[in-house]
Amino acid sequence: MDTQFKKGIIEVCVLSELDKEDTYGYLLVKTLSHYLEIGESTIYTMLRKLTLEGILDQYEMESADGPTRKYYRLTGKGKQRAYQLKHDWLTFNEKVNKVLGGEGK
Amino acid sequence: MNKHEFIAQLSRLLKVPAADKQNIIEEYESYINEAIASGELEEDIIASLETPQQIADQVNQELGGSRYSTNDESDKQKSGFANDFFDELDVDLEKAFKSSEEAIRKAGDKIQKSVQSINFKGILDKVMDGVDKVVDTVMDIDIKDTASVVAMRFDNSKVETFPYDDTTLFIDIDDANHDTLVVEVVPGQNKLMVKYLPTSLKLDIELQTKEMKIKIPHTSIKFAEKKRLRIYVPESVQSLAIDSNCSLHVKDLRGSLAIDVKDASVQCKDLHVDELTLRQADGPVTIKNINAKKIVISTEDGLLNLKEIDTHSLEVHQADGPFTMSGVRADDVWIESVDGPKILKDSSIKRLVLQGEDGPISMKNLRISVLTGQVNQSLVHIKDCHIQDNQLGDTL
Repeated sequence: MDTQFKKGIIEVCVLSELDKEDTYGYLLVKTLSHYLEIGESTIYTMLRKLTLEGILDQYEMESADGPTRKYYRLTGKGKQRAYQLKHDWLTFNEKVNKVLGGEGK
Repeated sequence: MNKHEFIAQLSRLLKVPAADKQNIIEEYESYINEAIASGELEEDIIASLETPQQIADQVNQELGGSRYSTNDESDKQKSGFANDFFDELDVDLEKAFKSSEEAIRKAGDKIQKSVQSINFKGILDKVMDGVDKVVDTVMDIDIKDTASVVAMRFDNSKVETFPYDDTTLFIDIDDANHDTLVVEVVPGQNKLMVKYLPTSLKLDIELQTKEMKIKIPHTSIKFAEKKRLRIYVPESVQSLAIDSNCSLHVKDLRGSLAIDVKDASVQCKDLHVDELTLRQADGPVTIKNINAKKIVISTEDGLLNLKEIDTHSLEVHQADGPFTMSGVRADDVWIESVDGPKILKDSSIKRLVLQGEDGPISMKNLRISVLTGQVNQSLVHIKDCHIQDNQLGDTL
């Protein structure tokens, strides 16, 4: 799969997961790698880049059953981006499905 | 490969700005800790991850490339670090430039007045001395220090090196200024190497048999940036002792280690040692991610924080100040804390001896086979602890 295309998909997935609820790196890696064949470094790099871009921010919270965790959450800018990317992806996906299914002709 | 080796290797391979590097390292440490906590074996976790090289390739490409300005890999790294550094020091350097300009103007005024009001005869040497001092000051602040500071961020920079192949080494650091010097002690290769900044910092380094003495004489110069000293310990050294009156950061060392610090903070991180002995008069102490057969810690005062420790035997003597301990896996733990609050959590210990005169104790998520000792207080809070043989039953 094209690298840029894959990156785009991963970003949508990361933002979509964070749109559901704040989460920490380990859980996000486990969740996404359950559905996608993806290295954890790709996700961690993505989280870092999105944080640097102000799409995400971080806070620490002590867990009841383990060490202190660094949680990621969407910023206001991040919520807009998540909405936009999700919308773009769903529209794009629908069109591609139509083409592949012959409905686009 | 164990966790420590994995993280150390990854750390070496990452060529990105310091903050990014720290973030990625912390994420991987956290990942491994979480997986261990959920019952996975350390070696299985490491095997399931990408290799440090694969991770570094991905991270360096994504976080390194666009933030460096040249094509050459080493230049990319240098300029990246330099940019970060100048961002941090921008204000201080500006202040330093202004104060040096002011110093030059005042010196110039004085020289001019001397020449006018006394006479020119015999004054030339003094004038030239004054000019030399001004030039030295300018060079120190404006050129030398800036270069050395940037050089400190380069892996290949060298300042002072000494051939050394002995197996023991004693380092004595004595800063007469008792202020902002931070000393880092890290593993080196086949030579004893000392880097420091600013270069105008006067250092007396004396290397004798099995001993290196570093003295920083008193100076009234106010440096624009934080003073730093980094000591690279040669591979041959199996037994290292450090005496310091400055803040000490010790990282990634092997063998046995004895630290004695007076009135300054101590950080020990990522150590894989046979024995760690730490004595400290005052100031905060953080001990994190340590694998050791034996650990003995004695502190007089200040916060003591132990985190992620694997050991056969851990002894803690603390006169005062808060004490926190988490993520400890040990056979024998002996804690004597005269005063101050104590928090013990998330640990697995075969035999825990508590000796405390006063101060509340909070115990949370502990697995202890035998709990014994003497605790003369009533403020004990216990939650989610599994204690097989509680010999403090009456007290607790």
